Amino acid sequence: MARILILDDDPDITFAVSLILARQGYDVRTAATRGEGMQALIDFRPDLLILDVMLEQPDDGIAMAQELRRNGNAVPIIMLSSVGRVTGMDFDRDEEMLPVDAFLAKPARPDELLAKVGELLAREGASPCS
Amino acid sequence: MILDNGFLSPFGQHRRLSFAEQELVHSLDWLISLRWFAGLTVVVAAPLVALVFKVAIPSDLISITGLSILACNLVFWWALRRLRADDPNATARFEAFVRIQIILDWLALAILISLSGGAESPTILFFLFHITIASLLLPDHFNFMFVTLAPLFVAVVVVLEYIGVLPHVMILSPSRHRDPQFVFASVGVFVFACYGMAYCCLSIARRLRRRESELGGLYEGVRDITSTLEITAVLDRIAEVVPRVLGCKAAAIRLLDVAGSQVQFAASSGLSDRYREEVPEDFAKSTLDQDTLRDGVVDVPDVLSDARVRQPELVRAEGIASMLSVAINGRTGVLGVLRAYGAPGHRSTADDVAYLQAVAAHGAVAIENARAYRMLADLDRDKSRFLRMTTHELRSPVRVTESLLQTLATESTGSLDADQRELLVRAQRRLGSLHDLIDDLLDLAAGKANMAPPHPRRVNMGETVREVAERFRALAAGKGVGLTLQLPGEEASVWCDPADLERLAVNLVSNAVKYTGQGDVTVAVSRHADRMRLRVADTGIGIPTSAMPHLFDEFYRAENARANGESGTGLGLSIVKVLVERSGGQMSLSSVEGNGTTVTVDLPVDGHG
Repeated sequence: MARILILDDDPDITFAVSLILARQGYDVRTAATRGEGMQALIDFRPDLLILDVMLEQPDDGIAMAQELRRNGNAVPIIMLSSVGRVTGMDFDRDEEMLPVDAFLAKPARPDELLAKVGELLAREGASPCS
Repeated sequence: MILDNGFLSPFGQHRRLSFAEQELVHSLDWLISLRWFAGLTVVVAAPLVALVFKVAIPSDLISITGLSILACNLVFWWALRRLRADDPNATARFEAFVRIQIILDWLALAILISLSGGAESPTILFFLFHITIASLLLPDHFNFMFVTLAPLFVAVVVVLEYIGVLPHVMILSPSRHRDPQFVFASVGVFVFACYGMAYCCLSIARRLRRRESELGGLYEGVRDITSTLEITAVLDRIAEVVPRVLGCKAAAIRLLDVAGSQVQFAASSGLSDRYREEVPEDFAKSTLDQDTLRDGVVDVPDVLSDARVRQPELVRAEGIASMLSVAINGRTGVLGVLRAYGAPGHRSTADDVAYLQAVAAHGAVAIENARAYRMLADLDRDKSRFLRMTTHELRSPVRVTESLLQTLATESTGSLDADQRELLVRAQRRLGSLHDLIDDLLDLAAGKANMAPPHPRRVNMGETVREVAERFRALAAGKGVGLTLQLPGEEASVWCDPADLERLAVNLVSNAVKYTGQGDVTVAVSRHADRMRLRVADTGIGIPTSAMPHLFDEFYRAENARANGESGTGLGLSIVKVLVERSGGQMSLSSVEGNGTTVTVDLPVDGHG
């Protein structure tokens, strides 16, 4: 079963998303802070990362995604955002602007979320749960 | 909106004295004070001189003259007091009073001269002394014709002695009073000196007075004009300042609206009601005003001969003979017109124009400030009104959703599994937070906009506080936190809106219980002089000093409050502040991080907050 890590500081979001994915049969882990998330990447080695734009600080999610890519970690990332936060942000100029594989606006519809998850996992060659 | 004050000014029933008038009264005080000294000197000097210099002068007669001077001065002193008390505005009477004093002084001097040697008398010099002092003190009341009285009195004395009518007191030996050459020379030098002195002193004094009057008037005027931010008061004061300092009869100011075409406000000072009603100039049609806007300054020295003046008979009947208008220029453009009305005999000088323009310039600044202030006040009110409307709109869907979720939660549509129930509970909790936030926002907006005006009445503070504290007893007990209530023995009443009191008590007690993990919360009501005091003290997480300046900012939550895990909108204290202020009370707060916080609110006991 594919492993998915959910990183979001809002406990209700992580609850809802992990519920949807777990019911589909995925192996789900959650983290609430960037630190926890980085640790979980090492321990849990997820096949997919669902990342919120805002963690403790605004744009923490973006910064974390950039850091991962810089370190050579190519794990597929779905970014969850509140509409309007995508634009008007500062990025590192020497990096890919948005080093994520997909964007979903909050609140993410369960069917859209599952579809995206399936698509990205298939691309990676991991086995999606249908 | 036309606003006018006519003879009524914000400073009182009487028109305030113009600068020139103030100076006149002040100078008269001086003159009378000097005369005490002069009279005394005459009384004392006569016998002294006779003794020391062994001169045969009639020192008794001279002393009597001195005493009469003192007696007259007493009458002058009393008369000045009466004049001031009676009617400070009676300029004509003051003028007459000045002339009478000077003439009597010169008469006394003439007598003294005759008693001390006539043409040979050294006291002729005192005449010059008097002319100097008088023209320095009263430059606006002297002219050369008046000054001529002085040499006239002296000439009469000398001639009378010459022809023998008046007895001669011998000073020089042999006496020269019958020597025509000596007499002519002596009187001639005196006349020359009189006019010379008068001219020098008057020129200098007039210039100084003028400058003093301008600066003093400008200072007072600017201070008055800029001391208020209320637009109608600013205009009233501008209109008031002009006659007070220019010495003209009246002034009027008309302000255009922001678009620059219609008159928005008007104010005047010194004009009768009849004039204001019957000579309303339509700004767009008034050639005079249009010319003023275009040229900056328009001087109408004679209202009867200028075709631009409408209804000249009415204008004349009001006592106006001339008009001087200047444009009021603001930073953004022309704001309006300022006009000074002169009585017959008043001539506008270049100084008047400069002065009027200075008043207009300062007035423009004050007007623009007042407008900006009003705009800010309007914006603030609009913002609060918007906030209130928006929150009302937000409440409805929230309430409906709460009801829908409640239906699910009670399982009336079917039972729920664990996950479903968990989702539902979380949703309800978040919705509840939203509900509280909207309520808080509404309270805040209502307080600031004063849209829901408070209905203060006598409220039993003890009862209200007790009831509120009891609501939190269960919550506190559940956390293991003690809740102590201290109420005074006698009736504890305050004057405020009961809903306001309840709300602020709820916020304070809620904060105390929420942010205390262990220890106690104490809620105390007590009386201090004319105030009832509510004190809510806790032993909770306290407030860090870095958070203190922001404590009453909306939506502010200190770092340690966030970390505490309790939900909060950050509006609680800002709401309490608004409520305390509109109840006419005061609040204070002290806290030590880690030890606890104490909030104290004082409210007035009766209606006099």
